[in-house]
Amino acid sequence: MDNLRLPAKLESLETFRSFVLQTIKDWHITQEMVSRIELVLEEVLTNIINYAYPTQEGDVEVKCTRLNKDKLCFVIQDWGHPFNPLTENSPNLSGDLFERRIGGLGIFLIRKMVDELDYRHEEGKNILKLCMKIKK
Amino acid sequence: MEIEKKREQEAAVVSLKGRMDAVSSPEFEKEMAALIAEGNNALILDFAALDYISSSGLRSILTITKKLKEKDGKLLIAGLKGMVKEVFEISGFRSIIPIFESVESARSQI
Repeated sequence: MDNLRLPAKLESLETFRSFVLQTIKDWHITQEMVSRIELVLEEVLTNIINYAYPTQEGDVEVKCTRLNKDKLCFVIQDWGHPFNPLTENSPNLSGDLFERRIGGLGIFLIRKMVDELDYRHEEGKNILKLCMKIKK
Repeated sequence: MEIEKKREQEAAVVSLKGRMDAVSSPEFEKEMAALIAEGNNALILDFAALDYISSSGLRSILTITKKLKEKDGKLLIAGLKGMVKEVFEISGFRSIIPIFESVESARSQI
């Protein structure tokens, strides 16, 4: 199992991205699928940065594994505020309907891209597990 | 992300290359705000070389659209492809922002 733990900051995004690209580089995944994986990773990490660590600093850990040859699974955990992205909405934005919808756009994109999504809060950690079928 | 700006008579054409993510979109938003402040009321964003966009990029585009609306201006996007096109479709942005095949066809609508 490959994993990487770094401070939950925007500056860490590129390192997490390189780590995941390196992990999957020999999996023969289409560019389209790689982009979806990158999108899911970014949306989860930016949610953690914004909502699990709104004021304090802390770490986030990404594990990336391959299951049954055709599935990529992430386990992403942090030690911040309990934050369940599956039930919580992002702060409401003022303005019209479209803008209100955009508050939860990151979560919406994650839901569209993944096949399995599970959240639990355990031993002071937010643990999010996501799996995506690998289309070749 | 590389941002190349051309100020033309009828519109400012902005070509974007690379990735519009949580790291690069604030800079993009700042540059577009500066273009609008200069008096460019019509912006054509050329996405032909844009490989990736996340919700941060979409939010920046929405912010710019709002700024332009306040000035009776408009934002047009040309050359959507790959995952950027997919994200535009999934998020519903395709229905709120005029999308064109090419910069030329966008220009003819201004």
